[in-house]
Amino acid sequence: MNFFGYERPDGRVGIRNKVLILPTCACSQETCRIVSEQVEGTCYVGNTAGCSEVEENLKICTEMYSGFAANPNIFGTVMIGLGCEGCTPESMKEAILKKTNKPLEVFVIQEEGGTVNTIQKAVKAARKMVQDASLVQKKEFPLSELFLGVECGGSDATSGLAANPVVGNVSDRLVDEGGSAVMSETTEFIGAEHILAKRAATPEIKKQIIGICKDLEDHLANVKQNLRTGQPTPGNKEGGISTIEEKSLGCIYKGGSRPIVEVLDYAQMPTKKGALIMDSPGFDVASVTAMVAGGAQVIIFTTGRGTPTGNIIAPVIKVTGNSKTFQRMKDNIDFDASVVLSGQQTIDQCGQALFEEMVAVANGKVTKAESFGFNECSMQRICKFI
Amino acid sequence: MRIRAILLQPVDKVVTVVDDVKKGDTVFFQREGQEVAVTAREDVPAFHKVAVTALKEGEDVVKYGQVIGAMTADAQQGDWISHKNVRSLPRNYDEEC
Repeated sequence: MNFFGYERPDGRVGIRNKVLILPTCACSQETCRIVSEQVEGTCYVGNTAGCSEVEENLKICTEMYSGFAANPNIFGTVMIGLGCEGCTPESMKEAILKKTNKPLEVFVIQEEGGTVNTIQKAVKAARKMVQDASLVQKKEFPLSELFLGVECGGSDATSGLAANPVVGNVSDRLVDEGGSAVMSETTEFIGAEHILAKRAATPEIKKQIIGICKDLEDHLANVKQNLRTGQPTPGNKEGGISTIEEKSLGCIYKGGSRPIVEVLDYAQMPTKKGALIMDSPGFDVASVTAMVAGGAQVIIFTTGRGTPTGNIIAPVIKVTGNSKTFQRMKDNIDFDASVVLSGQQTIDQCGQALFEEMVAVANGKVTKAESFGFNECSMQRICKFI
Repeated sequence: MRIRAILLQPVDKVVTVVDDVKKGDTVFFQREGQEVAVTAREDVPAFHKVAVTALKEGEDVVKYGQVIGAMTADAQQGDWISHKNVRSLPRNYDEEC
């Protein structure tokens, strides 16, 4: 099976063809929003940080926002900085150019002499870039060019019994085609990390999987917090999930069963193809954005309670194993995996159907979250602003 | 009423009910090809857990063939098992490495 996508000069393949208006910091995000609103065919992501940060937070910000620009669904980027921020326009530009050679224009508000001048120049650049993007014709590519991110949020007990095993089946199918699938949310490995670790391709990767779980618990202990007070969430408990162990044992199904070939830092682009792990928080929005920054062109997101969130760069396909949730939140959920629990389909049959849905979305089918233009964006941080 | 439940592994001590259960309902499930039934001792919401065996305070609760926590109180066969009577256990990462 093949799909139709947009070839990029860096060799990667997009399934959407957007121009990104990218803020380096919180002080330029409103200017970016105005520019994006004026030019059809662009999108923008918010940035509530980028300054007054410790070094580690600046690193995360640079990794994440440069990753958005490099995501293959983006044709090119118009970046807007303020000029005095910690996450400097120069360092962001450098980070983007390390990851991709796609079109990039940079404007700095303090250098341009204010908002109006910046908007005028950035709008012109964005319009030109959108026109250039419109000339890219779709071509046929093998599924090995697809990079899937798998996510769960608002889980209930059906997630681990139906939706996540079905998504795991899709993940395995894609890896078998030579593509990549990344599972994130370290919080939701805890209690199941010993099983996940058995999938490690090397002893080093096994150590990394256990290590990121230990690091997360140690990190929280350092600020006198306990992960178990926030996990499972109240909604998880009401949905029948009693402990983090139970949640994680259900969660890790969505990563499938193939050997894990690389453990990525938050928002990092992989160097290998196959089944991947990314170290991210259990907060779904901050995990989806990190996988998109890592280069995932499409996200499959399971939910038991029901959640509307999407992403402006990568289409998000919502899946539930709870038939009541599917009926109640039909305008948010794309795929009903409850047929596994009712015994109408096996996990493999349902996985085949979801795999075909993913390929349809890769070919351009608009997901529910996409149709609303949802643009949630959240970033992991190490500590307080300074 | 007879309500279907899912036993994920033969060693599991709890099943997941696929619909709302009323006290006195029969909860039935398959274990290694045999149908097993327990009587619910209380109302249980859909997709929550029911004990298929008596569980002592401190005892491991097993689902997916894995420990999902420990009991914080005794429970009888047919009781509702939830965050109210199960607690998470600390991990031993150094041993796993």
